[in-house]
Amino acid sequence: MPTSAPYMITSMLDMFTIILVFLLNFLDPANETEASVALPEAAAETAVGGGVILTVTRESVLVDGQAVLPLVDGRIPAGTARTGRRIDVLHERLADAAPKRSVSAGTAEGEAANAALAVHCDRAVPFSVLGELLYTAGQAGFGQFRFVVISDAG
Amino acid sequence: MSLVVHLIPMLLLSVRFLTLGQFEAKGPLVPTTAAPSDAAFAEQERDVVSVRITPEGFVVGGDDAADPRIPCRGACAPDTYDYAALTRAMVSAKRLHPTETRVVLAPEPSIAYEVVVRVMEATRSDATRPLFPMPLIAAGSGDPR
Repeated sequence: MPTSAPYMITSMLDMFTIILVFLLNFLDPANETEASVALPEAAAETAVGGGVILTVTRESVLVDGQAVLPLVDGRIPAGTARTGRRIDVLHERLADAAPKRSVSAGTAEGEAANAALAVHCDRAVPFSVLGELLYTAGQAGFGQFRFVVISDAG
Repeated sequence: MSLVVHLIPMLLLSVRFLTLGQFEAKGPLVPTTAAPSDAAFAEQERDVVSVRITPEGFVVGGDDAADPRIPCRGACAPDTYDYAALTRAMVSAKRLHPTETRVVLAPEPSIAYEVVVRVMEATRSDATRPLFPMPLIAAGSGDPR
C-alpha cells in the first residue's frame, strides 16, 4: 500500500502550460521601463513600438538603458558641454544609436532622419529639461517622438 | 485538482497588469534659442491650431473664442489645469480647421511633463471623434539652461 497519493502529472502540466502561455502573452519587453520613472497616466490606446528609448528620471538621462547624462536637482548641470543648445554627450550617443537601428531594420538610409524615439519621462520633469533633450534628439536625426505613458484606456 | 486547473486561468484573467500606451508627436518644431515671442506666436496662430501651456493656464490659438485664455481651476497644478475646457476649445477650433490634424504645443519651461501629456490627451479627441491627433512639440520653447 502506498503511503502518499501519486502526483497528478497531467493536471500539473495543464496548470504550468496555462501560466506559461499567460506570461508569454503579457510580458512584452516593450512594456518595460526604468523602475525609477513615474510615468504619467493617460488614455492612450496605441501599442508601444520598439526603437531607441530615451529615459528621463529625476536623476539622470539614459539611452537604451545606459546612463548618458546626470541631472542635478532635476536640471541639466551647468557645466555640460554643448554646441549651441545641443547637448554634446547625448547627441553623440543618440546619433550612434539612430543609424544602427535603421540599418538593422532594413530600412532606407534616409529614414534615419525621421527615426522614432520612445520617450520614457518622469511625470515631474520640467519642460525646460525635456525640451533640451528633444531638441538634441532632433539634431541627432530623430523626427518622431513616442511619449510613453501608463495607459488608463481600460 | 481539476478545480485548481480551472481556477488558475480565472484568477489570471482577473489580474490587471500595468499597460503602457504612447502618444506620437513630431518635433522639434521651433528650434529657437528662447521661447517664441507673443508676436511670433500670434503670427503662427493664424494658420495653425496651437496651445501655449503657461504657469497660469492655456492660451489657445486657431479658434474663434473671444478670450483665448483658459485659466487653471485654482492654483495651477497638473490636476487643476482645465483640460475639459481645452477639449471644448479644440472642438471649436476643429470647426474652423476641419481637415487639420496637427496642433502645435508650446509648453513654457516650468511646465511639468505630466501636463504636456494630458494636453496631448485633451487635444487628441473628444468623446465622439478625433480632433487633433498629431501634436507638434515646440521644443525650442524650453529654457536654454
